Amino acid sequence: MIENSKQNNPLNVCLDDAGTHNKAILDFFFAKLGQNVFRCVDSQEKASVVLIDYDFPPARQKYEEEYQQWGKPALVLSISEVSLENAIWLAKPLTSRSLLDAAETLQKQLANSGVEPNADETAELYPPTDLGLTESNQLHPPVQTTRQRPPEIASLGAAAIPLVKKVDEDSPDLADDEPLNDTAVTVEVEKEEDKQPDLSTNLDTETHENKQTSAETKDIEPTPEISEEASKSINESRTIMLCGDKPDIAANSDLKDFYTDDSFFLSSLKDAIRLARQCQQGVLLNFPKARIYVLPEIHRVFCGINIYEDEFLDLIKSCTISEGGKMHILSTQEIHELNDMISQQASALYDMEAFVWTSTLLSAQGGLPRTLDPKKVVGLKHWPSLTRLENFPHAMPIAAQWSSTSMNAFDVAKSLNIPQRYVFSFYNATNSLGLIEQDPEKLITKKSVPRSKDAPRGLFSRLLKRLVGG
Amino acid sequence: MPHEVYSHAYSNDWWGGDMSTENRKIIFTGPVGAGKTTAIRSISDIEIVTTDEQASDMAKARKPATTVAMDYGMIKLSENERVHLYGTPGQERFNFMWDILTEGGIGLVLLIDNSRKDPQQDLKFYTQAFKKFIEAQQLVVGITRMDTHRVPNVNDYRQWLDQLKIKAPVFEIDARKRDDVSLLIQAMLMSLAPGAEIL
Ligand SMILES: Nc1nc2c(ncn2[C@@H]2O[C@H](COP(=O)(O)OP(=O)(O)OP(=O)(O)O)[C@@H](O)[C@H]2O)c(=O)[nH]1
Ligand SMILES: [Mg+2]
Repeated sequence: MIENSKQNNPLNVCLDDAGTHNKAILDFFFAKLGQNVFRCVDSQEKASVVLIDYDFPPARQKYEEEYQQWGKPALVLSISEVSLENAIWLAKPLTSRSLLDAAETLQKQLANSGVEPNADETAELYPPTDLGLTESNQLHPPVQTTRQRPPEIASLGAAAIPLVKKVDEDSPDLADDEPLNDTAVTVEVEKEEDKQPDLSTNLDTETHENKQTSAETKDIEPTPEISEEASKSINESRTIMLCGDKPDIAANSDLKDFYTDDSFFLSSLKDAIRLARQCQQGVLLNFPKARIYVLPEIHRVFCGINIYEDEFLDLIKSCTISEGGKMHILSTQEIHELNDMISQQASALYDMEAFVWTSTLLSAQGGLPRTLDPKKVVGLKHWPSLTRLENFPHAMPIAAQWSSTSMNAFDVAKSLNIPQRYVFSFYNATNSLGLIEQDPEKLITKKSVPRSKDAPRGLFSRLLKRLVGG
Repeated sequence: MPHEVYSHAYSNDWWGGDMSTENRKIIFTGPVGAGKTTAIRSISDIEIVTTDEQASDMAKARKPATTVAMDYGMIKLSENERVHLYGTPGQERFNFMWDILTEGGIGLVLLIDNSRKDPQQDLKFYTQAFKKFIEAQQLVVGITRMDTHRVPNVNDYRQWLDQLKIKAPVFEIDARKRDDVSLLIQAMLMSLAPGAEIL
């Protein structure tokens, strides 16, 4: 190793013949650990040491035909041992230690031969650091540096989802009014025969989710069949369904008439989820138009009606206390039935959070339940998993704002300069998922100071535009 | 370090050739097979450069190819503005590179494979290994393979992060889907600069 006390000049090297991935590694290395040991120059002529990737034929050729005649010492990178005169072999993958050791040897060589590695500079060597360098300069299995095209994603069969624990065939059927016991639910999802060979068939639920979560992307890249305008208006009407179209209200106005109560559908759903979680068993929620199965162990809900279609809104609006809303723990018979249904309609299986999220939004349509005060300062405990939730305008900026600073809903809308209905929708939906902390004192705050001031906002904005725009 | 403009056609892809590009890196990390290479490939504008090997010592492993040195991809914002995407090798014997890799990074994308034996331990390990970087910059967590392994769920991860006193967005993702990876990075950027406008 190089000793701390030694004062040596950096070795001039040129990375033109190092090969792409070695170059990246060396750049990192030179930027920090090796910053005083090596210095980059822009041509091999200017280098005091010739550095080449011996496994890269053009580099090797140049070395053999040209550089070797110069008589400069060489650093030869290769996966297999190379013994050349006046050259040090560095095994790939490169390690910090082998680079530092080689540098030391070269410094000595150059000093002995009276050549200054870099005459115009005296630099202090980087002190040895303990970075956990466990790698020795040993031979490694062959490494292929490949430049790859994004592959066509291969067709994937629907995964067998280990839904819940194994069913006990002999266990007695559970009647609706029987006490909760340990009978567990098993549902095996069979591979659907007629699945399209694309990624989203992995689970059909994702087909819907994708349609929704990439709503913004869709604006810019409409599917070939739907015109840009048509898809825009579909998105707009869906947004109104989710978040309503109410105008903003003054923060000091009377909120008495503003609140909307949870729909009967939503409150029943929340009760069913609570029950299912408490007993860790599947629960069936019965409505005349639909049967909803809450499956806590796999965090999913089965519902025959597509929640991203208008029919689901009709279901929510039509549910009343006089018509259904009864719930019970699934019987073995019902578990078998559910098994069959899932195998025929895997797309009806939704992520539980995604189901609650969309149900909440459609129930309130931009309003707030009485329990959520838009004037109260609250914080976002955790981000919702936005990749699997139906998207609506500004959901992500609201999450970022509310997660960084506790605020009231009015102020969130004001600070982002967006319509209040989106903030109320977010507030309501995240609250349904248990992600809102009403007591901001309890929130975890990041230790470090906020970096928003020094964050390169221009770059971030441009990158965001790219990411959103596809 | 002095920055040179490399003459190779592809060399700008690596470093951009000027100092200002240094703080435009996003690092992807996580255990073997979590989807780092795939995620970078999903979002990169260029063909990614990877050092995947089909080595014999991986014969026992769960996947045919593993990254041995690093992955590199890039998002080109304009001719002069690029965001570099670096993936760490999943194998822990390459830890020595992590320090160097994170220098000047915007943030960390931690991918956790939900099908592994102890994802909570993985979460602990990587958040500890990148502790300083996470404190100074922004962490986002992407849980992969939830399509085949529903347990643990996203909420479990939220609780585990609470226990570690770390605040970070946690998204279920499929590394093969550009939209998923994109949303994860958007969450990172917006966390760093809440209220940032999309220009
Ligand atoms: N089913 C499923 N497969 C995934 C998902 N994400 C990634 N994969 C697959 O997982 C495999 C491993 O992904 P890689 O990108 O090679 O993982 P890596 O993190 O780079 O692994 P190392 O380089 O070994 O550390 C690939 O075949 C991916 O297609 C996911 O969410 N679900
Ligand atoms: Mg990899």
